[in-house]
Amino acid sequence: MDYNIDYKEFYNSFPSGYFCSSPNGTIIDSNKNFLELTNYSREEVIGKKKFTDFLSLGGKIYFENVFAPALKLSGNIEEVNFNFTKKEGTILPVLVNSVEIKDSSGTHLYTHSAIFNIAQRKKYEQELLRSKKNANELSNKLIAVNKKLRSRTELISKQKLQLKEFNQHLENKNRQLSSFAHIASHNLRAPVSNLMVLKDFYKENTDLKDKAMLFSKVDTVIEGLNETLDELIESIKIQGNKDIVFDAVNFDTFFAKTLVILDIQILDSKAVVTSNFCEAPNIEYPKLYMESILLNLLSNSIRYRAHDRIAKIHFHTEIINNEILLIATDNGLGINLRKYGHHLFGLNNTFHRHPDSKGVGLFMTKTQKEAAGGSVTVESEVDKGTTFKIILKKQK
Amino acid sequence: MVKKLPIIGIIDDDTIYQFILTSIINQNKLAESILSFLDGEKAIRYLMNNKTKNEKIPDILFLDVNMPIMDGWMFIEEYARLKKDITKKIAIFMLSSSVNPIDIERADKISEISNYIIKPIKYEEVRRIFENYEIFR
Repeated sequence: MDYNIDYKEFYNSFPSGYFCSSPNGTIIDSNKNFLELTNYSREEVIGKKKFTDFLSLGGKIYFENVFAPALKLSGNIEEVNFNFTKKEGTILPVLVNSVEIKDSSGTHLYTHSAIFNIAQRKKYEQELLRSKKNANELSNKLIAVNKKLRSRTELISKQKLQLKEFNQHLENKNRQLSSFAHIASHNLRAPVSNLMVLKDFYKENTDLKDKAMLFSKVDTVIEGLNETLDELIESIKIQGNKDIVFDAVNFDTFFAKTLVILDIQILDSKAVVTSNFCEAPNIEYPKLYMESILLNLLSNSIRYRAHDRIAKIHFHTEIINNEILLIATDNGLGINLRKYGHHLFGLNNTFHRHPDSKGVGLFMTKTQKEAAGGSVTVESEVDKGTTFKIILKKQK
Repeated sequence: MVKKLPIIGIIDDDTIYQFILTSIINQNKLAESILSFLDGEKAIRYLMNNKTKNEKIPDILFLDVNMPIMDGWMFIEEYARLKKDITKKIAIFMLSSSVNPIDIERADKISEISNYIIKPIKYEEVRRIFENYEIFR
């Protein structure tokens, strides 16, 4: 096949702008497409305008400092983005490819430049940039929201923790209140009603001897009531004590003090009392509570020893889950926990027929423990012995 | 014909209360004799040792709720197990200073308990119990 190509026509209808300029930049020829892109007539451009006449001030500076030197250096340059100013003043974004045409001796004759309209691409590019900017903004917003959410979650979990603590406190208070109701019902109501009846008897009776006997009974009841009230006041003091002061407590020192206090009881009972506080020698704890807890535990172990064997009582400390445990073990009478477990820490509850049993010690121990944070557990087997574990909150 | 007076058992760790109830009963000559126990376990042991000796088994038991060693509830549990071996029927009245409705309801559900009486018991109530205890047995 043989085509007869009209190069003049091809040049004019080439689907991009095309011009030829002399070494000083003056455009000496252009195709029709270039004129259509810039909206100028042939007469207005050829021999009159230079490449740089189509550029803004910024474009001109770029042309002088980058485009022209690069073209001179390598003889051609490609895909340089300029904004051409059209005849009516509007902007046309273009890509420019230029090549220097030289003769055989290397003398620069012309520069050929191809101009590609990139208005569509520019628009698209700007849209992309806008989208990217939007996406960035959105992402920033999300990060901010996320941050806010995270801080809110933190706040909520902090509040949850506070609520939990508060709840625990309330539960403690509740338990104390219901144990108080129990105490009021049993330990106060009974003696008061006894007093009422005794008073009636006393009034009705005429025999002086009987009257004296009745009065001695009244005396007994009042003494008992007084003791119960003292115990209650003591426990209210403990429970109402909000600002508990934590002292530095050395177990060895405090236990030695307890041994001195119970010296006679230990001697009489011939009990073997040992201790080992190596694992946790010290704790921050209210001094008075610690004294009373040690005293109660040790005197209990002595009081409820089994008489057919030598009493062995051992106190030691352990650290479990970052909490300090005070553990008191004996080989005494033991307690039937299935039967008495729920009464163990009540006021005036006793489980042995012992003249010194009053049922105050463990009630106080528990009250004090709960006031300072912590708990008491007990393991026991009848005629084998008892182990009390006091979990003392570890202070940071 | 003179009606035979009942034998009374009082299970209560409160000696003053033992004295009061005993005084009321004795002053009004309501009982043939009064047995006194300071806790439930002592009473159970007594019943166990005398289960077929009718002349030693009480007709009426006043049972306190709150006691050391074996409280009123535990006593009832033990008694329910022992009941079939005891030849005499016993009317048990639970006495308590507790006005707690839970305690009262609990007593209501136990067939061994004839009635729940809130302390202090009055002479009128004691008299009524002595007049009617036989219908509870």
